[in-house]
Amino acid sequence: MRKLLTITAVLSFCGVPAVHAQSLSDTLEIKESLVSAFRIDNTLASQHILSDKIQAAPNLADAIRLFSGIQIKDYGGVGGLKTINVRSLGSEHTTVMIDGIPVENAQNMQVDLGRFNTYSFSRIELSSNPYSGNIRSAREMGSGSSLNLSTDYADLYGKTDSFIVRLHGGAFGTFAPSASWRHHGKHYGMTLNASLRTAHGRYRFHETKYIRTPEGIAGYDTVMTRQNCDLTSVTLDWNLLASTNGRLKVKGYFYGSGRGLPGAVVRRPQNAITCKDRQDDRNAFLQASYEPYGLPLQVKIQGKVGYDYLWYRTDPKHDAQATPISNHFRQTSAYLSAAASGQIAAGLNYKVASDVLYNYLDSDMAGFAYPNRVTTWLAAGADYLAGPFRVDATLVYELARDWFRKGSDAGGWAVSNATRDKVSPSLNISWVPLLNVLRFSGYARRTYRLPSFNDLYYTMVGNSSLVPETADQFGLKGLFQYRFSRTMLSELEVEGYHNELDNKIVAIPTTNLYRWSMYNIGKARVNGIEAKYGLSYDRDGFQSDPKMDGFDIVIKYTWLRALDYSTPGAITYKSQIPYTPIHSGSVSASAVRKGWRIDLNAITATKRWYNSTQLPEYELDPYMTIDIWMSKILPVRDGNLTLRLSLNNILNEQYEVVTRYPMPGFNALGTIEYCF
Amino acid sequence: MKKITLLIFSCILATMFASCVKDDGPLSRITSDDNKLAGEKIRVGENKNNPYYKLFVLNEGNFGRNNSSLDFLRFTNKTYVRDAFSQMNRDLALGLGDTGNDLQVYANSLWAVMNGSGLVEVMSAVDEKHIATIPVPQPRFITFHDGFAYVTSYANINKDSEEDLGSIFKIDLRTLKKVDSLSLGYQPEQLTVCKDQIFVVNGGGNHRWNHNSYDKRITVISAVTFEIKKEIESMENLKWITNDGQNVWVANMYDTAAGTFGSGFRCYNADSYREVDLPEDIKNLHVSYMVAYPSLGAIYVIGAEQEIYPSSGYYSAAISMKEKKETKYPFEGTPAAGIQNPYGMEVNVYTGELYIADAGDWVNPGKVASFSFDLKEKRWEANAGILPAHFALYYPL
Repeated sequence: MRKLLTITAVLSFCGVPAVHAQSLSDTLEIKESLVSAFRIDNTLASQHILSDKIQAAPNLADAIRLFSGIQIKDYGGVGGLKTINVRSLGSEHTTVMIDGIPVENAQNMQVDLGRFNTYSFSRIELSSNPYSGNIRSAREMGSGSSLNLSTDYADLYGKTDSFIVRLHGGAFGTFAPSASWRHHGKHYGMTLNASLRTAHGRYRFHETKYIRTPEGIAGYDTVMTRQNCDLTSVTLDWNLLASTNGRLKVKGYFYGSGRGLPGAVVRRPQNAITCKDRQDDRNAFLQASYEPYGLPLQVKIQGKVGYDYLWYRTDPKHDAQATPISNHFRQTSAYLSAAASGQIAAGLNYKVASDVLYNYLDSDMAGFAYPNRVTTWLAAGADYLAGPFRVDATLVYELARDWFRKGSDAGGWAVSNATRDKVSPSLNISWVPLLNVLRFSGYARRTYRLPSFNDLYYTMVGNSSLVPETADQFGLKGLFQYRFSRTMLSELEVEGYHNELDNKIVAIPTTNLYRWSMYNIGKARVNGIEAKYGLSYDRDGFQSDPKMDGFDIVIKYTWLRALDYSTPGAITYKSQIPYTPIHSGSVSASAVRKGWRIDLNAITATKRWYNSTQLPEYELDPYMTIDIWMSKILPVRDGNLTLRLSLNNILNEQYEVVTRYPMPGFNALGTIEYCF
Repeated sequence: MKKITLLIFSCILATMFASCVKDDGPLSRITSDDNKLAGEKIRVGENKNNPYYKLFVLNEGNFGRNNSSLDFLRFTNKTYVRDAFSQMNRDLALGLGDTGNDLQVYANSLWAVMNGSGLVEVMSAVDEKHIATIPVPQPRFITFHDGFAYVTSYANINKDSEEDLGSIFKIDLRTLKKVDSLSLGYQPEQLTVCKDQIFVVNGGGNHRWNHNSYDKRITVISAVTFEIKKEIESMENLKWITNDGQNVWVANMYDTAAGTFGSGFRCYNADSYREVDLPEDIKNLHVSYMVAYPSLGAIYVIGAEQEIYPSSGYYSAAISMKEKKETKYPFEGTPAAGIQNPYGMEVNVYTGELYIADAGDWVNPGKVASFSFDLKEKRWEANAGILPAHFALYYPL
C-alpha cells in the first residue's frame, strides 16, 4: 500500500537526497503546503519534465523541445503537425505512450504532440534506454525509444470536490476555455476535463533571400501571412485512479478537431495564394491498467480500445491548384498486455511480458487494401544486481501478421509477404563506483520499426513487400553529481551513442512526382554526444521534490553526426541526413519564489539541410529562439488564482524546421486559471 | 539503322545552311547581362556546326519545396550556370517557383511552365530576365501556334462538370494574357498542332486514383475556332504527342498503378483520325521521356526495358516517323551506363549530341551529361539542380 499513490513515479536512480517515493502521508503534507506555490524539479539532467514546467509551457511540444538529442519536426502554427524524432532514428521509432499504453497510429506511425493539453499531464519522460525499474509491457521493452505522458490523476486527500476553470488565449486568435472537475472518495479519485480551442492561426512571417554578389548583397524580404491555418478542437477526458486490492487506472479520451492545412509556402500567382486543404479528426480511446497488490510477484495488466477517424479533403472549387481529393480513413485498434516480474534469488529478478495488438484501417480510397494487422510481442528478461554492478538483459520477439485485399476488386484476403517477425535483444550494464556521486552505464540493443499501413498499402504508393526497419543502438553514459553545500548541487552527464539504421523505408517517386512508392533502401549511421550540466539551488535544502524556493539552470549540448550510407558513390554518401543539425543546444533556467515562477528557455540549432547534400542551396538557416514563461499564484477567497504569461520567440527569429513551413515569430499567450 | 540518323542529320545540316546564317562568330559577340554569373567551365569540345547559343535546363525540384531552378550551358564561353533565373531576378520573391513541368523557347523568349506554382513564367532567353507571369492553374505542357500559346492544365474550369476534368488555356502572345479556355478530359498532358488542329492527349493518372480508370482520349481542337472537333480513342495513360505533318504520334506511360501494361506508341491520321498501323517494335517501344522534331520527322526517346521500379535496361532510341523505323541504343556497355535515373533528354541535331538529365535519387541534385548519339562517347557532364528534366535549345533571332 505504501507506494500506491506516488503520482510522481520513482526514478531509476537519482543522487539527490530528496523524497521520491512518497508515502500517502508525505504526499498529503507536501501537497497541502504546495497548494499556493510553484515547484521546480530537483533532478536536473534526467530526461523528464514535471507538471509545473509542463503547465508553464504554451503547449506540450514546447515543453518536449527541451529534451536533448531530439528533434521536434514542427510544421508551424497552432494546427501544424508536431512529431518527435529521437537521436535521428526517425519519428516512427519513438513510441508515444499515455500512462505506459501506446498511442496507436498504424496508418502512419506519427503522433501529433500538438493535440494534447498541457494541464492533463503531470509528467513527461523520454527514455532512449529500456531499463527504468518499473514494470513494462513487452512492446515498450522492444521499442526504439519512448515518450511517456503521465496523466494527472486526482489525489485522494483534501476537498472531496474541486474545480478548475481556465481561459487561455492570445496570439493566433487563440481562445481556449477549459474546465476540470476533480473528485475523490476514500479509495478512488477521478478527474473530468473538458476543453475547447479555437484559433484563426494566422501569423506573419518574412520570406527572405539574400544573395552575395560582387556589387553587394541583393535579394528580397517580403512579409507574408500564413493563411488557412485555423483550428477548432474539443477534448474530453475522464480519468480514474482506484486502489482497493490493487491499483486501477482508467482513462477515457475524446479529441475532435477541424483544421485548415496551409501547405508549403511556394510561389503562387497573386490571386491564388492560399491552399484550401482541410482535415478533420476524431480520436477516441478507452484504456485501463491494473496492478494487484499482495502477490509474491509484481503483475500489470493493461488494455485499450481505440477509434480514429480522419477526413482529408481539398477544395478545387476555391483553390485551382488543388487535385480533387476527399478521403476518409477509419482506424480501429485493440490492445492487451500482461507483464510480471519477481525475484528468483537475492539480487536476481526476472520479468516476462506479452502483448497483443489488433489494427484495422478502412478508407473510401479507390482500390483500397483494407489492411488488418495482429502484432504479438513476447518478452523475457532478467536483471542481476551485485554490489555496484547491475546487468539487465531482455529479449523481445515480435510477430506481425497482416491481411489485406489485393487490387481493386475484393478478391478475398491475401497474406502473402505479410508476415514479419523479428527478435530484439537488449543488454544494459550499470556501475556505481560512488553512490550519489558517480555512475556509469551502457547499453546495446536492436529494435525494429514495422512498416506502417501507409507504407504498405496506400493505394498506388504502398509497397507490400517491405520489411521492418532495423535500428542497432549502442550507448555509454557517465553521470557525476556534486553537492557544493546544503542548498546547492550540480550534475554533469555525458552520453555518447552510436546508432545504425538499416532497411530504412524511403519514399521514391516511380515515374513522376505524383507517384511515390516505398522501398527498404536507406542506411544511416548515427554518432552522437550529449552533454548536460545542471546547477540547482534550493533554500530548503532539497527537502521536497519539486522544490518551492530556488532555481535551476540546465545547459545542454548535442553533437550529432547522422550520415547517409544508402548509395556508395552518390553525392549523398556519408552526408548528414536531412533536418539534422550537427550542433544543437539549449539553456533552460527556472526560478520559483513566493508564488512566482519564471522560466527562460533558449534553444539553438546550427544549419540543417533538407536533403543529404550539405550544399548551401539546400540549407536551412541556424536559429535561436528564446521563450520566457511567467506565472503567479494568488490566493483568492477559498481558491487560488493563477496567472500565466508566455512570451515565445522574443527575438522574433524567422526560421523553419521543415523546409517551406515557416515558424511563427514573436507571440504571446496568457492563461487565467482559478482553482477552487 | 544508323543510316536513318545520319540521313536526318544531313537533312538538318542542309536546312541549317540554307536558312540559318548564324555561326560561332556572331554568337560570341552577343552581350548578355548574365555573362557576369559565375559558372562551371565545361569541356564542350570543338562545338563545330553548333548554331545554338545556350542549352537551358529546367530542374523540376520537389513538389512543395519551391526549389525549381533554371540552369544553362552557354556554348560560346563553355560555361554551365546554375540557378540563373534567381540570380538574374534577385528581387523576385520565391524565385522561379515550384515543380516545373515544361520548358520551351519561343523566338527570343523562354517559357517555363510551373505546375506547382500555377503559373507560366515568361523570361528573356538572352538574359533570363523576367518578362511576365501568366497565371494558369496546374499547368502541364505548352505549345505555340499562330500568335498564341496553348497550355494544358489539370485544373477544372467548368465548376458544374466532373471535378477532375482538365483544360486547355489559350494565351495571346502580344498581350501575354489568357484569352480563352476549354474543358478537356482527365489530366491532359502534351499537345501538338497539326493541320490547324490542336491534338491533346488526356492521361487520367490522377483519375485512376479515385475511379480506377485512366483516360484514353486524344482531344482534337480546331486552332481556328478553338472548338473541340473530335475525340480519338487511344491507349490508357497517354502522356506524349507529336506529329510529322500528316499523322499524329502518341506515346503513353506504363501502368504506374498496377503494372498491367507497358508504354508504347500509336499513330493516327490527322485528317481521318484513323489509326495508322505501326510495326510491333514501335508499338511496344517503352518511353519514359520523349522529344520530337516534327519538321524533321524525328522522335527521340529514352526508355527502359523494365519500367517498374527499380527500372533497368535503359536505352535511347530514334524513330523516323516517315519510315516508321526505330533504332535503339542501350546504355549498357557505354559511358551512359553510369546514369542512375535518366529523367529527361534533348537532342542537338546539328552536332549529333544527346543531352541526358540524370535525376539521381529525386531529392538530391542531379546531373546533366552529353553523349555522342550512339552513346559510345561521353562529351561532358555538369552538376545540375534537383530533378533536371526539361531542356530547351536557343539560338538568338
